[in-house]
Amino acid sequence: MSISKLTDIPAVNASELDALLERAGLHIRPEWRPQMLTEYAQLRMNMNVIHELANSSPDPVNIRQSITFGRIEA
Amino acid sequence: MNFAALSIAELGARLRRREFSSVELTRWTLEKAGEANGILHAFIRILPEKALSDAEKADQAFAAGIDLGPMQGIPYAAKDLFDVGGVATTCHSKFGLNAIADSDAGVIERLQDGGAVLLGKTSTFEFALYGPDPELPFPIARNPWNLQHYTGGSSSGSAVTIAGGVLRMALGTDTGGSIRTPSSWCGTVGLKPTFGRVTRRGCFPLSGSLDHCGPLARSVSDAAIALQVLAGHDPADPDCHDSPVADYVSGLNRPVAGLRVGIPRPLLETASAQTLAGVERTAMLLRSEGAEVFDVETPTLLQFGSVVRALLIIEGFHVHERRMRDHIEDFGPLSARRLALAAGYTAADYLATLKARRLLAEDISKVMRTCDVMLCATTPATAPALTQTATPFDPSTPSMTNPGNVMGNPAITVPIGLDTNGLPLAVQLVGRLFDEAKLLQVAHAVERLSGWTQIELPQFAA
Repeated sequence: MSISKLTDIPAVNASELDALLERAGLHIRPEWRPQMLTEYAQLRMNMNVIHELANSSPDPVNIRQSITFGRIEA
Repeated sequence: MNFAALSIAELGARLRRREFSSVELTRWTLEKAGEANGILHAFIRILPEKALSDAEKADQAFAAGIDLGPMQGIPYAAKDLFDVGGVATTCHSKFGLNAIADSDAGVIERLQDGGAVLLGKTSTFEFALYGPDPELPFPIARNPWNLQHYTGGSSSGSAVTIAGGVLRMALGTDTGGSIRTPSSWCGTVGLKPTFGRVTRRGCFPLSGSLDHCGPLARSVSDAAIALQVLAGHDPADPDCHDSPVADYVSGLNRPVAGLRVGIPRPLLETASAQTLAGVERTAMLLRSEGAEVFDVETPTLLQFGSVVRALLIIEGFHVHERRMRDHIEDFGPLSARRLALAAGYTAADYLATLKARRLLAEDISKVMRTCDVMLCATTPATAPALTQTATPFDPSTPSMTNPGNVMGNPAITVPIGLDTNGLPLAVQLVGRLFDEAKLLQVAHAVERLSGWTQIELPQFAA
C-alpha cells in the first residue's frame, strides 16, 4: 500500500471516539477534539494496514520473545 | 584551546599525556555550556558540582596509573529521561519536576564506572512522546545551524549541545527515531544500537518493545567509543542481551571494498530530491571504494509506521494510564492528545500489531542475508522551518526511522554535507543484528568520503 492511501482518511463517527474515551475514563479538552478525530481516523486506517499484513500469514508467529530472537541474517 | 574540536580519542590521549587535566577540560565545557544554553536551551539542568567532582576523580585515577577506559575524564550529557541519583528526572514534564532519582540508570552507571564526567541533563519532548510543545515547564531546544528551524526530537537537547560545539557525546533514547532524527537535522552522528545491546534500566520508558538507548556524537569514532562503554548485559533489563560485546573501535578504518550495500527503495518513498541525491552520492562514493551497491526490496514505510504508532501509543498509555485519568490537564496538549488515542485500540489490534511486527522483521532479515548494510535516508528533507504550520512529526507522514525500531536492527545517522540553505543533510545506514562493528565501519567511511569532517560547526547568535 502506498503512502497516498493516507490521504484517503475514512470518516469516523465522532460519537464512537467519545464513547471510547468515556470507557477509558479520559476527559479531553474540547479544543483537542477536532484534531483527535482526524488522528483517530488515521489510526483506524493504520490498523487496517496492520490487520491486512497480520492476516496475510496463516502460520503461527512468535510474538512473545524479543524481536531479535531467532532471526538469522548472516 | 577549543576542546570540543578534539575527538574523544584525541582528548583521551592528551589527558593521558597530562597535556591538560579533566578538571580543566570540564571547567571549559561548563563555561561553554552556560554560554550556549542561553540561546540553545539544550540543557534542562547543568550539574557543575557533580561534573567537577567526576573530573577530579578521573584525574586522581590518571595520577594513580588507573585506566578506566576510553571515556575516562571526558564530559558528556544525558537526555533527561535517564535517572541520576539525587537529581530530578523531569522527562521535560511538569510531572517530573520533583521526581528525584534514588540511583543511577544503567548507562549512567557504566559511564561513571568508566570515569566519564556527567555535565548535565538535556531537553527532550515530554516523556519523549511528541513535540516540540511550548506549553511545557522548560524551553524548547533550538537548532544551532538556524535557530528558526526544527531540531528534531525527542533527544533534541543532546543533538543541540553537540552541534553547538559544547560536547562530543550525549545520551539519547530512540523509540521511533528520537536519536537519529535530531542527529539528521542538527548534523550529528546518532547511533541506535540493536534492540537489547544497551541497557534501559533507569531510563523512563515510552514503549517497552521499541525503546532503545544510545549515543549521539560529533563523529562516528566518538559514537563507537561511547558504544564500547555502553554495550553489555544488564540482568535488570529483561530485554538486555547477553551476547559478547565486539570491538567497535579498532575496525573503523578497514576498507569497505567488497562489502555489499543494499538501497531499500520503498523506504525512500517520501525523500526529497535533495535527500535522494545525497543517498545516490553516498552510494557512488562507496562504489568508488570498491563496495558493491544494489537495490533491495523491503516492506513499505506505511507498514512500519503503522506498527510503531500502535505500539508506541498502546504501550505509552500503559505507562501513563493513571496520570492520564487523574491529571490529564498537567500533560502538554501534544502528549495528552496522542496518548488518549490509546482508547481507540483493541486487544485484537495489539496482538495483530505484534504479529505484523514479527513478519516485517523477518522480511528485513531476508534482505540482510543479501547485504552487509542498507543505505537509506533518516529524514525526508533537512530541518523544516519553525514557521511550518503542521508539526513535522505529524503521524500522517510515515517516518523513515520507524523501520529501525520495528526490526530492532542497529541504525546510524551520518551527516554528509549541507543543503542549499546551509542546513545539515544526512543519510541512514542499517546493519545486521548485533553487528554494530560493521555498521560503524561503513559509517566511518561515509563520514570520511562525504567531506563532512571538513565542515565547521555553525556560529549561532540570538
